Amino acid sequence: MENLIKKHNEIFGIEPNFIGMFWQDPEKEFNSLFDAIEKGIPYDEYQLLTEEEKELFDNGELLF
Amino acid sequence: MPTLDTIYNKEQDRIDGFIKQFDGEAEEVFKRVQRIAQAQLAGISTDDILNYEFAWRDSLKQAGYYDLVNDLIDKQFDQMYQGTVNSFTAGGFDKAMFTADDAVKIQMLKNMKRNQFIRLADDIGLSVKRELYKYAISDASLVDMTKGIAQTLEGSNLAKYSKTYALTAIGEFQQELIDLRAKDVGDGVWVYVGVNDGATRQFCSNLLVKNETYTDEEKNELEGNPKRAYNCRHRFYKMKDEEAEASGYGKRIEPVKKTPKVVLDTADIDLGYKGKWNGHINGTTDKAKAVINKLSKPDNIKTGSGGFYSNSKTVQSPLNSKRTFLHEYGHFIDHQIGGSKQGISIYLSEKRLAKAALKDGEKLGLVYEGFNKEGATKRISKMKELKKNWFKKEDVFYTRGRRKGQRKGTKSTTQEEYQKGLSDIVDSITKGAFKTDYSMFGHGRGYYQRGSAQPRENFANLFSLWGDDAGHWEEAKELFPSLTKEFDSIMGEVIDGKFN
Repeated sequence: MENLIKKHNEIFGIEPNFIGMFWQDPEKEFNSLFDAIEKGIPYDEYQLLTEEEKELFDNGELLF
Repeated sequence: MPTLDTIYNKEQDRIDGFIKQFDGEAEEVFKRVQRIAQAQLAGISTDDILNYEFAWRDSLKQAGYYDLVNDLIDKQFDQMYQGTVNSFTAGGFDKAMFTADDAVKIQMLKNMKRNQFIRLADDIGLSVKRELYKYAISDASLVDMTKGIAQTLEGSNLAKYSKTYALTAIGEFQQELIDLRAKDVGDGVWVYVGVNDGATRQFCSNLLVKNETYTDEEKNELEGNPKRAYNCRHRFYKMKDEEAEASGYGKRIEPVKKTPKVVLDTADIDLGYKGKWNGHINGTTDKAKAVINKLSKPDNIKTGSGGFYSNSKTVQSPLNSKRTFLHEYGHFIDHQIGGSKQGISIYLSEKRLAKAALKDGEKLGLVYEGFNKEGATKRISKMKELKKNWFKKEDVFYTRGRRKGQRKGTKSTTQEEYQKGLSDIVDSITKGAFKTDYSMFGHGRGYYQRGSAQPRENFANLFSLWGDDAGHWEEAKELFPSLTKEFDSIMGEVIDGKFN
């Protein structure tokens, strides 16, 4: 995971955006980050939320 | 000048210490008595039984019984003189020193107590002797005789009640010393002194609550009341009238109202959904179940690969993770007991846990003021230390495609499941740096940059650690003393019904 984060930072110049949505499942988090790097997309968990969830999250009404 | 209570407490502490030691020594002595008496007495013939008393007392001597009794009477009893003199001084009597005449009487009192213990042992000796007669005339085997002696000794009162006998002897002697000196110190009144706790007999408790002063006659009558009986920890002390009044005697002391014992509602919880969450929720401690039973249940519980709690009172958790479920349930509780501000519902943790987290963070060196190299170095070093304690790498493999089964990389996790909760608290205190910069377990920087996230997640993690009956709360308390203390206090308030 450490190497993956380093790789992400090197490729995209930014750190992955963890918002805790996979906090309870390190394997899922690893795979999601891995897939994002393979697809060449910066990792951003916020973008994985639905519009409704984004609104809840922004209002502090969605906790992980 | 020490008060009567101070003197009494000091004496009691000393006696308690001695009794503890006496009890241990007495047990050893009785084991030896048993062993020696069996060896000396088993196989004895009817003719030899005439010499039985000698053999029995020799067994007691060899086993150290007489030394034990002498130690009690000579050393312990002698330590009571000063306490008694002090008690009279506290009662307003200046000259209460023991006289030469008293010394003779004290020696007699000591011998009486010593003889009580010797008589007790002799009574047991007689029981053993009766057993031996029975076996000798029936030509019983050596094995049977030995067994009979062992049984008689084991069942003897001295073995069972040695502590009670010693405590009673000490108490009686202490009161006798007070009585002896009280005759000559002049006019005064008697007061009753001692603890009034759960172990106090009703009779003594009533006297302590009444807190009255007594004449000689009244004191003698009360003192001899059989309801005081064995082991009594209370004493009558004599005081001058004016001293007793100044010390508050004569006025009733209202008994301390005992806090009613909270009966925890630990009934099993049914969350519905055909009981699929019940294993998690009922596998918590009694206190956690009591908290859950006090509050309402979530409107909706969903199964999903990720865990979350939303303000719509929905809890989502993977079915197979008790820790995640309790974490999300913790959010639900935090929200439920938080109340509202200007019509907006809030979480209690925001009010109660923020300062505690800062305090623990500072104590751990994870939080420091301003920008300084020393603070930064300490913070880095602490995060590295905690990572070393908890971190574990685990291989991740491709699960499909042509590379199925091949190693894909390593995920970061913790050595023990419960450490995920501890790690996430550190992550919250470091605003996500522990996860994002050190690859440790937590919600990460993107989450903890939001101000309210830290206390809310701490509440959920603390609930999961506190509620799970896996017993890791003590470790959490060591690491986060302020957070856990405040959390304990909140849970106590829930149990007491403060949030209902």
